[in-house]
Amino acid sequence: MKALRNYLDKIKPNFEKGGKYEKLQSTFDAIETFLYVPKKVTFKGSHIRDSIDMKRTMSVVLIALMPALLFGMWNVGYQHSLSIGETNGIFDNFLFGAIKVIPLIAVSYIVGLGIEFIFAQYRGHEVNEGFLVSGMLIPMIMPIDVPLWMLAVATAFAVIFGKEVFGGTGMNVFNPALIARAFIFFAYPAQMSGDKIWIAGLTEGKGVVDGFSGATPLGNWGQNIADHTSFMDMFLGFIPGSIGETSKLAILIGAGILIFTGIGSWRIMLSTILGGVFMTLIFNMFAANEYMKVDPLTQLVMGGFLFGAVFMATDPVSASQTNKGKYIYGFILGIFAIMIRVFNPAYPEGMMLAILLMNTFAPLIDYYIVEANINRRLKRAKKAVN
Amino acid sequence: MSDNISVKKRESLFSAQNLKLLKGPFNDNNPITVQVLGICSALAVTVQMKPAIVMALSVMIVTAFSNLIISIMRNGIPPSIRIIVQLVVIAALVIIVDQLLKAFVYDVSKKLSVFVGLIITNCILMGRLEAFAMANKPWQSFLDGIGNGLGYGLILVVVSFFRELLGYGKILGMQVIPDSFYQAGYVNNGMMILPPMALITVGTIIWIQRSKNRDLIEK
Amino acid sequence: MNTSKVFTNSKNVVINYFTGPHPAGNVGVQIHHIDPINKGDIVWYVNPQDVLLIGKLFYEGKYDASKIIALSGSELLHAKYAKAIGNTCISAFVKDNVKSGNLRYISGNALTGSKISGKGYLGFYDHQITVIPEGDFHEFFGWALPGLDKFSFSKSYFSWLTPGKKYKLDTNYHGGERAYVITGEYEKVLPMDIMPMQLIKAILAEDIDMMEKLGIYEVDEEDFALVEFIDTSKTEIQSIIRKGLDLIRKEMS
Repeated sequence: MKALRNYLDKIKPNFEKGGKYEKLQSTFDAIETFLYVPKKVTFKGSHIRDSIDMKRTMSVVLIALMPALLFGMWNVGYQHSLSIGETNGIFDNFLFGAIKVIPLIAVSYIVGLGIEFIFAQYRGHEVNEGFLVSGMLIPMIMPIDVPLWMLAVATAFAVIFGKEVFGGTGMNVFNPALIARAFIFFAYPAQMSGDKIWIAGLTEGKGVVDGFSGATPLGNWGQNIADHTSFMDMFLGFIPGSIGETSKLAILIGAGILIFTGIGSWRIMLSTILGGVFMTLIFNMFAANEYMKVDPLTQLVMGGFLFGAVFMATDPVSASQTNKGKYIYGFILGIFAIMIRVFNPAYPEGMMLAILLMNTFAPLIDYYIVEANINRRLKRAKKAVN
Repeated sequence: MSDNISVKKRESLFSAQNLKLLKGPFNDNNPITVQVLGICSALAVTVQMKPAIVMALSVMIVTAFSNLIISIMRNGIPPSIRIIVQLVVIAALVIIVDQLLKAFVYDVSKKLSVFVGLIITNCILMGRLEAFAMANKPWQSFLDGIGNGLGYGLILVVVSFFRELLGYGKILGMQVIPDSFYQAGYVNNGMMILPPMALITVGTIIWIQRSKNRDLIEK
Repeated sequence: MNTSKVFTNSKNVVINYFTGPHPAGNVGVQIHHIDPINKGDIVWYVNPQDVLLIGKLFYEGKYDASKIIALSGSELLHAKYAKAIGNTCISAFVKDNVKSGNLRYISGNALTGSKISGKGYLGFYDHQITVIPEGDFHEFFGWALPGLDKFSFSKSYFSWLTPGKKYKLDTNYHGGERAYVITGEYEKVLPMDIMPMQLIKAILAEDIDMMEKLGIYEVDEEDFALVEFIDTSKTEIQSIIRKGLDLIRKEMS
C-alpha cells in the first residue's frame, strides 16, 4: 500500500506541467484519484466537508443497477434455454448470460471512457465520473444480440454528440445513454425492433423450438396482438426484453437504494409513475381498442417504463433541476411514454422517446419555476414599498 | 461585409487580392459554416453525391452570373427597387439552369425537384449581391460569385460524401463498401439518410473548423 | 419553550422564536423569515454579547471588551467556555490543551470561521475557537469503502447505521472539484425561499440583474456554509456568494 503511494508520488512530477508526460495529466489524475482520495485540504469557507463526492455518488448508482444487471444476465441465459427447448440450471443460465453481457459492458466502457479521457485532456480538466453510470446503462438498455461494433459506434456517438458538444458532463441536454439507444434505433432499425432480437441467438435461428416467437409483451401489443403474459412473469422479469429492463422487482430494489441514499430523485420517479397511471386510466375510460383497455399496473410492468422512470428520467443533469419542476417533468413524461406506446405502433417503446422529448423541455419547465420565485420576490418588494 | 475593396489602380486579373475573393469562401468566410447561409438546401440535397454536385454547380453558376450582371448594372439601379431587380436577375438565371438540367440530366433534376427553383430564395445569393456586387467591379464580383459558389459546393460535397458512404455504402452511386463487410455483419447507417444527420454533419464541420481557427468563435 | 427572563421581561422589543437544526440560528435565515430584505433595505443586527457591551457603556460609562468564547473541536483536550478580551491571541487558550498532530486552528466555527495559526488572533466578530485535525493525507480507496466512520449528510456511506455517533471531521475535501451534476441537494439545507443552484450560476456568470432577481440581497456567505459543506461537486460556494455580494456592492456604488 505504502509502496504504491510512494511510487505514485515519485512519478507524479512527470505528469505535471512541464513534465515528460504532460499530455497524460488527466489520465494520471483519474487513476491517482481512483486509487486515493486526494489530500487537498480546505483553506477558507467551510473547513470541513461532507465525505460524499462524485465517485461515491456514481458508485451508489452502480450498486443500485446491480440487481437489474445480475438478473438480466440470468434472464439472457434463461430465455436462450427456453428458445432452444432446454432446461438449464440457474448457474448455467447465469454463466451463459454473463458471457454474452460482459463484452457489451466492456465495449461501452472502453469506447466511452476513451473518448472522455481524450476530451478531458484536450480541455485540460479532470475526467468526470458521469460516464461510469452512462457506460453501464448503455448495455442494459440494449437487446442482447446487438453487434459489438454497433454498440461501439452508438457509444461514441452518444458521448461526442450527446455530451461533449455541449461542453461535457453537467452541460448535456439529453441523457447520453438514451442517445446511444436512439441512435441504434434510428440508424439500424433492424437491430433494435422486431421479435427476434431480444433473445440471444434467435436471429440466427439455430436449433430454435418450432413455434417459439420471442416477441415481448410490449412488441405484441404494439402490433395490436393481445398479449397474455401473466402479471407475475412481467413483474419478476421472466420475459424477453432489453438486458436490464425485464425484472421490475430488481428495478424497484434499485429504486429503493437510490431513494434511501438520497441520490435518485423520488419526486421524478413518483410523478412519472403517476403520469403513466393517469394516462392509462384515461385510455381505459375510452377503451377504443384492446391496447387501450390494458390496466395501469400491467402498463407499468411492460417494457422499459419502470427502468426509464427509475434510472434514466432521474439523470440530474438532463432532468428538470428544480424540485417543483421535477414533479411536472415526471408527470408529463409518464403521460407521453404511455401515449406514444399506445398510439404509435412504430415506436412500441415510448419511454425512450418520452424521456428524450422531456429532456428538451426540462429547461423550459425550470425557467417557469424560477420565474415564479422571482415574481414572488418582486411582489413582496412592491408590497413593502406601498 | 468588410471585404468591399475599392480598387483604384489597375491590377492584374488574378492578383493576390482577387484570388482572396476566390479562396476566402473555402475557409474563413465559408457561406455555410461561417456565414451560416443556405443551410436548408444543404440539408435537403446531400443524401447522395451526384445531386449534391449538380446542385453545387447550379448555385455556383447562378451566383457568379448574377453577381456579374448586377455588378455591371450597379450604377444604374435605383436603390429603392434594387431588391426587385436582383430577384429578377436571379430568377431568370435559375429558370435557365433549371431548364438546362431538365434537358440534359433529367433524373438528377427529378431528385433535386423543387430545390433548384428554391435557389432563388437561397440566402447566399441575396447576401453576395447586397454585400458585394452592389459595390464592386464586375470582374471582382464574378470571382466572388465563383468563390462563394465553390465554398457552398465544397460543404455540400463533403456532407454528401459522408452521408452516401455511411448511409448507402456508395460513392457517386458506386458500391464502395465490399460485400464481405456486409457478410461480416456491417449494416448501413439508416440515420445518415435522415435530415438530422445532415445537420449534425454540418455541425461537426463547423465544430472542427472553429476549434482550428478560434477567431471564428462568436462571443 | 425555556426562555430566559432577561428576554421575556425586556420592554419595547418584539420577540421571534426559532427552533430547528442549523442554520435556523443564522441571522440571514431569521431575517428572511421575519421580514425579508428587499433591494435597498438596511437591517441592523447585534449579538447578545454586544448588547451587554453597549449596555455597560451607557450604564456604567465603561467600555468592557471582554467576552465569553467557546473552545471547541475534536482536537481540544478540554472543550470549555473561557473569558477573553477583544481580539486576543489564542495561544493562551490552546497551549497544553490540544492533542498532538497537524492541526487546523479556526477563529469562529468550522463552517464559516477563518483559518489562523496556533499563535493567531481571534476575529472581532468571533466568539469561538475551533481546533480540528488537518486532512492532508491520501486515503486508499476512500470513496469505495463502506465508510462506517465517515460522516455524510447523504446516506451513501454506511454510517447511517449508527445514528448519534460522534465523528472526527478533518479539513480534507474528500474528493475532487467537479461540474454541478447533482440537483435538489442544496435546497435541503437552505431553509429560505431562494433557488441556490440558480443563484450560484447567476453569480458565476456575473449576471447582476439575475442575481438581484434571485434574491442575492437576502443571503450571506454564512447561509451557504452548509450548502458548501454537503456539496458533492466540492466547489467554493461561500467564496462564490462573497463574489456576488462584492459585485453587487460595486454596481450600486
